[in-house]
Amino acid sequence: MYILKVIFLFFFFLFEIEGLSFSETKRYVRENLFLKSEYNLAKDSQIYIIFNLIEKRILIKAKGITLKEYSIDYFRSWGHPIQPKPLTLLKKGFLIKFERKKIIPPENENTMSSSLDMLEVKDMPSRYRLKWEGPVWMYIRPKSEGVFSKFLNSLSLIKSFILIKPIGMLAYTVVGKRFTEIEIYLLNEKDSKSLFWTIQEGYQGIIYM
Amino acid sequence: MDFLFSPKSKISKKLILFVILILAVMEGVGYLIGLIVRYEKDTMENEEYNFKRLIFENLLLKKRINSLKPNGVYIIVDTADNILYLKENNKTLLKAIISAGSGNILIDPSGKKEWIFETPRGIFTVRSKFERPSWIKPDWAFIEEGKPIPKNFSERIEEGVLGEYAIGLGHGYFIHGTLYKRLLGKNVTHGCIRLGDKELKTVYELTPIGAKVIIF
Repeated sequence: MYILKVIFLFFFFLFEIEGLSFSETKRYVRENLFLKSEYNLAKDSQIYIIFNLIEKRILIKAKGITLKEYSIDYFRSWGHPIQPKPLTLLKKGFLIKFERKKIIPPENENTMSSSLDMLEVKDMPSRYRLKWEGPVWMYIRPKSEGVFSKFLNSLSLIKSFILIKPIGMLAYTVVGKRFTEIEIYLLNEKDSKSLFWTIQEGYQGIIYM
Repeated sequence: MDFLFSPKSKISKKLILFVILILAVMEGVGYLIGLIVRYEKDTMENEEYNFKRLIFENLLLKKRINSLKPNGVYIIVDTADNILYLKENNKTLLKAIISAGSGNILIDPSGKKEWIFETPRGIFTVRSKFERPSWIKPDWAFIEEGKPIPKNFSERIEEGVLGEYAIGLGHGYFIHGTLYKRLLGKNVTHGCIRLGDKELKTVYELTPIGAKVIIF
């Protein structure tokens, strides 16, 4: 099997490379940059995230191992193109706030409460914003399923395409900064909440598109 | 609506129209800039590449990333779904339901200290292994129960609550057993990872000290 691989690579190098088109060349250059970035992240002892928008997948990884994978239904991007380099997640923003439950210590051991309070994935927001270095603004939403969800997604489309994007673009250009916005729609609400739970501020990620 | 037709309102109307016009121009300019930067040239297009080397390098990088995977047995803990995977290279040896941290906050009545009961995320190493472990109750366990914090160390020791085995990850965090098996699958712990008896035995026996534990 190993010999076959070597023979294949030999012929591949001999005949194929000369015929590479410009777009193929660009793809290999981008892939090279992406792999170098991932290698640098995987070398460290940390969890990192890959937003592979080409393959429509979000991967939670550590040491090169894929820990979890989420499928992307569709996405929209706007503004400056992004290089596949490591970016730090600066902030997770959300509209509907979730709160940690506070344990009230009882007066004495006889008055101890037996109720179970916990913070679980279902308590997480399903529509939120991730602010990456750059800045890259990323909006995560579940795919429209019900009427309410469809209404919210349409509202967000109007808000971002008509209001925020052009004004944001103008403002960032005036101050001489780059501006990128990406809207990602996941397959369902559960995935969206689970992703919010999993990624933490300070994590590093690569956006490959 | 009457105010719009009064003589004074003619100025307001003009002002509103002017503001709308300015906003529309800003929108238009912003939109145009957005269209232009979208097709901004990549810096990489201007550079020259040796493509034979590039393709070879990509293959090598993929191999290098793969080689970073832990050798031998390692553990992956998914706190979102409360699942533990015991792995050896690419093979899953065991998939078990766990209980991870509740995420609750306990504040010392004196207001001086605060604890967040969360399972820490990241890459850890198995540092210790114990059979029939005793629980050395920390301060928060007494505060949570409304009991005074004992001055005598022996009063902190509690037997039989951590199950038959405990695997230490450092900083007081363990993978251990539980008396509350009906709560497996829920986020109820103070940060440790609870496992059922049978699964705990397998994990304990197959995981050596030094093995990697990835919690996310």
